This record gives sequence, structure tokens and C-alpha cells, in this order.
Amino acid sequence: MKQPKTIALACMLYRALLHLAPKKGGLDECETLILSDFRAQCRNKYQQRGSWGVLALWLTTLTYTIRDIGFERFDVIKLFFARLFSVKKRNGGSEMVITRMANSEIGSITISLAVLFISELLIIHMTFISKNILITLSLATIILMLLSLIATIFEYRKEFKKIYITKNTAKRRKIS
Amino acid sequence: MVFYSHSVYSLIVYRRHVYKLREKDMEPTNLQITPAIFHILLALADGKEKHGYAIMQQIDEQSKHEFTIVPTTLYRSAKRMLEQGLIIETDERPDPELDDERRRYYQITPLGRFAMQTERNRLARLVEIADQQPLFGGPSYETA
Repeated sequence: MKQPKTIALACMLYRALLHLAPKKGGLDECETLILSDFRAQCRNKYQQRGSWGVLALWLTTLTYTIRDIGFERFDVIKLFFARLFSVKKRNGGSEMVITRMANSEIGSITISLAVLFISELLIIHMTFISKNILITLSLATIILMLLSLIATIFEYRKEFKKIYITKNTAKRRKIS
Repeated sequence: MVFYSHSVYSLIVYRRHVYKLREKDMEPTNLQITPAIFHILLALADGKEKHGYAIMQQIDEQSKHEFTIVPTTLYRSAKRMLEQGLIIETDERPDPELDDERRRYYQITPLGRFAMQTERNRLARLVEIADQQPLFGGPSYETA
């Protein structure tokens, strides 16, 4: 069935826009379905309001599609970092290293001290409290933070070793 | 330009509501109910299987053209709903009333109905709270 040029052009531009989506995301798998639904929408709008209806539909769809493609890209980046910094749980599955740290006493102390240090830096810049006192406090916080970080690394040395070995093994397998 | 400013507002306000559900015989799970997911669940609430375009048309009719859902949002949300078990994919076949192209059909699950009810109750509570404010006819702050 021959379709009007407006619909053909709108579908062609939409197909080009969908190429911006990441290759292994959800949008890539459903590209045919997305295009067929968009074509049906364009036909419907063309019957109701002609070419202006198709143009109005295209403008609305463009905004939301760019947003969705942006979210897909962001999800891919999130997944990349999650895989990079994940460790295996004892009962199966995996979790982020920082989640594991937050669940242990020493790890949560390290994170709290890091947050305290950052807030002290902000306070130095934003208030008129004596800088000497704040600098002393900041130095004390840094020392405590370093000590707790060393304790955390010691506690999780096996986990970090596993991550290092796994990544090196994967690299060697790729090369061979 | 009214429709464009509405779409920009919708771009900025993108809320998710996360529920931790513990129901008898159901495993606890984190469900993320966005406005798009809620509209899709409402469109499938009658229990019949529908394909993507039919869901979009149903949403348009139910919301009286106030809420727009585009194909990318629909299929992203559908993928998330399939992972969370809110809907199931029943079939892939052409719709004779539409055209010859193959379409995927979806149907709501009991967990989907439960999530829809939970979200509906949350929104009803919000409306109750809003109705108590002087701006919406509630008692003024002086007399309260």
C-alpha cells in the first residue's frame, strides 16, 4: 500500500533517530515494533488532521524519544560501572563493592569520614569560622580516614584480589 | 506552543515510586512504578491481551489526550514490566484490523494488578492530604 510522502518522511527520520540508541539496549531489540507503531500513529493522525497532524505528532515524539535514548545510554554506563566494581555474594549474585563496604562497620566508618571531610571543605569556603580550627579538624579527619581505609582494604583484600585476578584472566583470554 | 511546554515539563518531572512488596506467596521485590507504567497497567486492567499500538490508543482515550506515550517509552516500560513480572508476553501475531505487521501482545499479571492497586492507594492518600490544604478548600491555618 503506497503511503503519503509525509508519513514516509516521518518514518525515515524516526528510523534514523533510533540509530542513536545503544546497540545492546531494549530499544534496539524492539526497533521493528517501535517503527510499525509509529507508522500506525502517523496514518491515524494523517486521516484526522492531514500533514499538520503528522508534524505535530513528530514534534512530540521527537522530545520523548530523545529523552528515552538518553536514559538508555545512561543505563548502559551504569551497568558498565556496576560490572567493573561488583563482587560476588556468598549466596549467589553480585553487589557493588561500596554496598558491601557500607554493610560492614569499618567500611561504613570510612564512608562517613569521607563525607565529613567533604562537608568540612565546603564549610571552610562558605562560613566565617576560624580557618585554623577547621584545617586542624580536616587534617585529623584525613588521618582517621586513611587509617580506616587501610583497615577496609585489609578486610576486603581477598575481594579486591579476586577482582584483579578475574580482570587479568579475562584480558589474557581475549588476547589468546 | 502549549503541547510543547507540557512535554518539556514532563521531561523534567520524571518520578519513580519504589515499592518493596511483601505479599503472601510472592517474593519481596523492588517495583518501580513510573507514570508511564501506571498508565500501561490501567490500559491492561480489563485483563484482555493487547498489542503496543492498542495500549497507546487506550491510554490516549482514558486520559482524554492529556497523557502522551510514544513507542520508545512504551517498549522501554514494557521491558521493565516484563522483568518485574507485572505483565507477560502472550503472543506475536498480526492484528487483522490494523495491518499485516506482526505485533507483540501483552497481558497483566496478578502482581501487576497488586502494584496498580498499591499505586492507586498512594495517589488517593496524596489527594486526601492535598484536600486538607486551604488552597483546595480545607480548613485555614488560623482555625486549624
